[in-house]
Amino acid sequence: MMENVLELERVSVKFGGLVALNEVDLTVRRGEILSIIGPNGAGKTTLFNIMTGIYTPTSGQIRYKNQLINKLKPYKRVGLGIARTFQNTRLLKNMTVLENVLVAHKEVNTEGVFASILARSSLKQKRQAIVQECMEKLEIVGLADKADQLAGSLPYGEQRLLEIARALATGCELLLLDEPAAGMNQTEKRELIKKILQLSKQYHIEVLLIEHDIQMIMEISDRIVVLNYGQKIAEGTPSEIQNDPLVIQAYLGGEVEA
Amino acid sequence: MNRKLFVLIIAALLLALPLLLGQVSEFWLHVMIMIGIFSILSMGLNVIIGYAGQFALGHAAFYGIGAYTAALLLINYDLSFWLVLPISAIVTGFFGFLLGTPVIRLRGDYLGIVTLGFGEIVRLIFVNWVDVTRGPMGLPGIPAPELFGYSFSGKIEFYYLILVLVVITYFVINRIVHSGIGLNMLTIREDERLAASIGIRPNKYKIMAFTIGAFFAGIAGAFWAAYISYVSPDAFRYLDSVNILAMVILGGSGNLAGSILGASILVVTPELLRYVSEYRMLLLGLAIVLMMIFKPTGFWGEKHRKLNFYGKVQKGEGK
Repeated sequence: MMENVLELERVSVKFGGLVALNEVDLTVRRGEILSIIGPNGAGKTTLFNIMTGIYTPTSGQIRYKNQLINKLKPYKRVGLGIARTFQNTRLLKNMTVLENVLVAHKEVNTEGVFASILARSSLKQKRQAIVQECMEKLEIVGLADKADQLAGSLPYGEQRLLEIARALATGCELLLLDEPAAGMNQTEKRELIKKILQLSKQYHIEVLLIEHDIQMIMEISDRIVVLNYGQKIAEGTPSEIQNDPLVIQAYLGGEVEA
Repeated sequence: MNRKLFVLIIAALLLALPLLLGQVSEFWLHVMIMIGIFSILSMGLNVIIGYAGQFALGHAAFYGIGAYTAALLLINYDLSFWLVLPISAIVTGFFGFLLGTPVIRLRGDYLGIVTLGFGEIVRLIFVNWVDVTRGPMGLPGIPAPELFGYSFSGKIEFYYLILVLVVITYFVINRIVHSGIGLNMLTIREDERLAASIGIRPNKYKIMAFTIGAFFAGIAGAFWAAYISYVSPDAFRYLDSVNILAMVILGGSGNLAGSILGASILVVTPELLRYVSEYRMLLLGLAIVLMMIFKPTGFWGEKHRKLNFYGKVQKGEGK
């Protein structure tokens, strides 16, 4: 059974005269890792931004689990289970690694004023449980032993992992990763691939991936969507995409044969 | 443990202070009380500026609303001060909520200008709503608080009262900023878009910061009204807002103890410089400029923020 988690139907985004996305159809199916590739400026990040609610589409529909979410505010979409990481990491650099994960936890975001003033033992227990839960997320990405360091002091690759841990702490079911491997070396990339596969298979999180590393894309994606100039030009399994003439043209330029 | 001892010594000193100072001069006791009032004001503003990162410039307006609310209730309705104090705080907190709701759409300088305008409007209402506020003449004859039939007549009683209020304010705000709410406010301050994309509702916490800041300004205002027993629009000018802002910045935004330090410095310095009265503001201005150059984070800035206050990680678990 192929269940659709997220569906985009003829979604367009225009900024004045610039068409960032033009009537894009896209579905994310239950349990899959879907990659979005395309040259710079193809509209990949814009696609993420309309999924997470930073932009609203000019036309078209976005449905998450059969619910229309076109106009839903970003924080509400997080509540539904959509979380993301950023292309340029957005961490609270002066806060610790653990705190960076804590801020994304649902229970932390709903703590009340009076409860926090009284700080009864029940609240303290709850906080302890939250900390443990966030530590588990750090454990998944392998940053647990750095919990007390400042986020800004982490190397670039680990900052990206921390962003993933933070997204996990929201309790997400659909995870959007915006170039998670950028700035990582080969060993780190291998580790990242393992972790993304683990998230997908073990934690049953749907993963939507924007990445430039074609080798990595081919290795982990169940399906690939190719964007160029805001249009979807191809969609399919890695082997289908590799042989698609339109994709080759978009990447290498030149004429399409026949 | 050293820290505990330090706190104990400070507490003992503060408790014994009136006995020492009272003999020397009433004046320095008055200065201590003013430090207390401004500590409460700057701690409240610190929630708005230091934690939620909202550059608000109208804090004296909340102070004024608290003072006038208390004065009117005490004079016209003959209520007990102990009832008026929380009522004024709640009323002022409500005004913080009212102001916060529309202005949170604005950022940075724009927010500063709007809150500055709000401060002026409030002051002009005090001046012009003569039927209620008696305008520039102010409201004299505010009755002193009574406790168990004993009326607060001297500065010493007020000193102990403000000491208690400062401790309560510190305790409450400290708990709030060291909670999920504080974490969320810091996130919004650093990166609002990030906050929204991890499930934090920025507007909720900004309004909350305004309400909390105004609430405590209301407490300071009510105390001021009862202490001076006279309120007039003169005490709640634009300059006073700037002064409170300077205390937050000087002490270190995002740090409550810093706010108290900032309040102490900015209340005491003008008094010490009284003998060079013509140059007083000049020197103060110079000091602030130097501060901005050499220690822009304030005396007790963010670096002293308590990290991972949410709970320590239990080592050895989950492995």
